[in-house]
Amino acid sequence: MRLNHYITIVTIAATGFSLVAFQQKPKFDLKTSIARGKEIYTVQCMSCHMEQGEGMEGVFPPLAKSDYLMADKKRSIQQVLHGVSGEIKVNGVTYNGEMAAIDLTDEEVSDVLNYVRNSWGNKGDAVKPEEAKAAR
Amino acid sequence: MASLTLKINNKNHTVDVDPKMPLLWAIRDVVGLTGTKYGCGIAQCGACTVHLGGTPVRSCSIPVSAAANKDIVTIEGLSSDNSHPVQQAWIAEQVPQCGYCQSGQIMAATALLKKTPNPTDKDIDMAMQGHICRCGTYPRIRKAIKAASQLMNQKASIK
Repeated sequence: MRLNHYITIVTIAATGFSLVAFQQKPKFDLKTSIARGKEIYTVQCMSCHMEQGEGMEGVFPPLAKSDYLMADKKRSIQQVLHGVSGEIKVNGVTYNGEMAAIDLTDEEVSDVLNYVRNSWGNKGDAVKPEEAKAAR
Repeated sequence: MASLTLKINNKNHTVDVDPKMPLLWAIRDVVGLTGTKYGCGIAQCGACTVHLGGTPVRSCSIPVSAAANKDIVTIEGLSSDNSHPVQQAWIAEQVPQCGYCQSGQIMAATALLKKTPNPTDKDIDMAMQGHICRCGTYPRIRKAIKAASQLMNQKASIK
């Protein structure tokens, strides 16, 4: 085998390896997380919390402009991961229903919460996948 | 117990029930319309889907009191003779296998087509995702929704 042929192959292999080895995890971006979260919301949440997060008074608590939701980010992460039961008070109305735990990856938990916490008049700081991981 | 009026398929029913009773119980056991099925009981499977004020909802998880005096449509309300385009498409494509989830599937599909008359595969997947079918009839469901969409468009163009 000619030497420069050999060098070319080695160079290509090394470049390929370093690309894989040093590629960093894609940086967290709130905007794209919210966009992904919308799809998860449509599939997992919308049948009860409704399209505009309005819920159903007395039955399914609203997420839109919800004092309860926006008061505690950590609680929301727990609730998505583990479900909710028992009495809660949202915007002055008492709810006593049951929400099943939702089977999502850490990234999906962060995405869906970022969507909910930044839609329909809500504005909240980002939920990172690491926070979901820590809450498991 | 409370006396409530349920407006199901354009007919008023007065029922005397615990206001906390799930709407599904009232529809099946009190009013006697058994086309709507009980699947999981926790709004996870979609079998009990009916329309409440035009929106598909899980009737197992809504107290009957929340549905009083609102328009409720069940599978029986689509047509009296299976002539609704979604029902026609379902028959033509032979969608059901065991059939248990299908009234919920059909109600969800009907609601989807009302909102999105020409749904893409993605629209269909998004709208139908919450409806579980143990027989795995999903490809036929998708096909039938597309067929129903065509039937509805044809009907609309004739008018």
